[in-house]
Amino acid sequence: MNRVYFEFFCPVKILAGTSALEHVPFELRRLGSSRPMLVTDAGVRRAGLLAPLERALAEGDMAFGAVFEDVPADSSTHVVAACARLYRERSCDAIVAVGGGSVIDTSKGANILVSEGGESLEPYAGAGALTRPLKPFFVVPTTSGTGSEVTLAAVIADPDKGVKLPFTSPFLLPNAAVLDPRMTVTLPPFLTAATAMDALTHAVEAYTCMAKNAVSDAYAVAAVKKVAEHLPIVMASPGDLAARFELALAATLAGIAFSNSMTGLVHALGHAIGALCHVHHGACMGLLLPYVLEHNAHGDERCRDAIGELLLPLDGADVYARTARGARPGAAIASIRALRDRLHAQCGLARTLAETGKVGRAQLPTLARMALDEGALAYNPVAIGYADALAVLERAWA
Amino acid sequence: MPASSTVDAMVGALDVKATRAFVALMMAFMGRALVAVSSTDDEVRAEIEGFPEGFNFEMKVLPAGPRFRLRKLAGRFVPDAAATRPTLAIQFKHLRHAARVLSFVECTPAAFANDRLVVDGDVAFAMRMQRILDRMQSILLPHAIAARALKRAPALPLAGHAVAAAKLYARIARGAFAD
Repeated sequence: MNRVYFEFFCPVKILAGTSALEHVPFELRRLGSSRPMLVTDAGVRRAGLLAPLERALAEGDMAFGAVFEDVPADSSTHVVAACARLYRERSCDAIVAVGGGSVIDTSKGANILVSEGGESLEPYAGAGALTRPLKPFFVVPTTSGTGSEVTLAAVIADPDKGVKLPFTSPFLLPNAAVLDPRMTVTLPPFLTAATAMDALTHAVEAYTCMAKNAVSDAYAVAAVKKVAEHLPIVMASPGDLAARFELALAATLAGIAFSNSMTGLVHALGHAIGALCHVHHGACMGLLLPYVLEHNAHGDERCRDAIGELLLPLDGADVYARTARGARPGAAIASIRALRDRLHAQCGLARTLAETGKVGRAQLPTLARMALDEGALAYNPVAIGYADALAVLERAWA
Repeated sequence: MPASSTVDAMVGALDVKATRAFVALMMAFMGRALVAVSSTDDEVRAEIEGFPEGFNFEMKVLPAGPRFRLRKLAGRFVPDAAATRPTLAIQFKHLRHAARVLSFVECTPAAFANDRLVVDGDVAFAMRMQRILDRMQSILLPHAIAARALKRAPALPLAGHAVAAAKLYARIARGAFAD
């Protein structure tokens, strides 16, 4: 009997490619908005990334009703409340987030407050607390990695209670994700590499973990192929707009894949390392990915086969065809390892935990324990206990 | 035909009343087993220490049961009759999903990955609760069945496993007769 069952959901309209920003005024009007609020951070403004969007709006006879550009790297309920206050004071009617993960999560939180009313996010924390659509919400990512523009979750710190509030709801999904190559062209080499490895990890975990399914597989494979082909081009020619666009698209495709089939041990360990040692998330993902794949390939036959299948998008048809089936998982992992090593040579992306300079070997037991409480572990194809998590961290150490 | 397919066919053939009765029975058993294992097993007790005092947990079939509900009291689980929102809830989306999981046709991790369940509450608490459920099942079930129900059933020493299981079943039975 066929026991397959899966769910797949992605209602986000994707505006992608040349002059994508110029479509924003039309799409906002279509949703009844005429006074959108721009949410961003100072770094995005300094990099000059807002100019083409503001010009696109002005040429489309629209202007931002308010600009909130005080989003810090780690947002909080206080920042969200300030953002929502400005929205209400200026009578805005939509939110356009321009930036990375923190800006996007802040915007999702602010959208809850301005749509549902009130000053506190706490009643809306958890899964399924939101029951109706929020205000129109557009996301313009300025990195090519997080995939937050197509995910239904947000995490916002509550400094008063010392906790991180998780929010999960289909109503948090943006109405539109805008992928314009102009928005990622100034991303420096280290961040380009780290965020692309984040996208690659999303795709690889989506394809190899327990909730993989036929639809998310298609997105994941497409994302792996785009990262493998275009990341080396962008690293060699950072101004190549076409390759930049392909990387941005890869991140979105990977985001759609993992928001439907979830991630696994790489993310569980990475979240723990990020929380305790503050290693850049994308750098952490790229560093851990080969070690975790080796562990999972050893522990689960179906996962091993899935890893082997990724040799095709990673290295192309010729390499795939001349590699024996049993050797493909090892070859796929070696390919990811080679990519990681090239990035280390090009921009100093760490290959081991020791190379990050932020993780102490004595912290590994604590990190292994912390990882056990990460939800991503539920989707890892191989059962992970404390000893397993510690063994992977030890191998990734040096 | 593999054993799991036979069980699947048998569970699938039950009418709705019989399925509800089976799920209610298994839910009641799981609730009692969790109360019992929180007294008999050191690993479970260590996990429970990680929950805040007053923590309560509910497992139920949507929309209106069957269900069981527990709370943490003095480092152990006790039955809970409160009607407030639980700290952590694991909810089956349909009676038939619960029947498949509780008859070990579909293992809990697969049911989670296949969206048969909704988890409402703190993710770290959910992972801790999952470890407790895994531990309880690995003690209660013969290894062959535990291997179907869990991602990885620990290979407990035969004699030790038998003693732990006997203690646990005795404690569950005492709880049942005490009601």
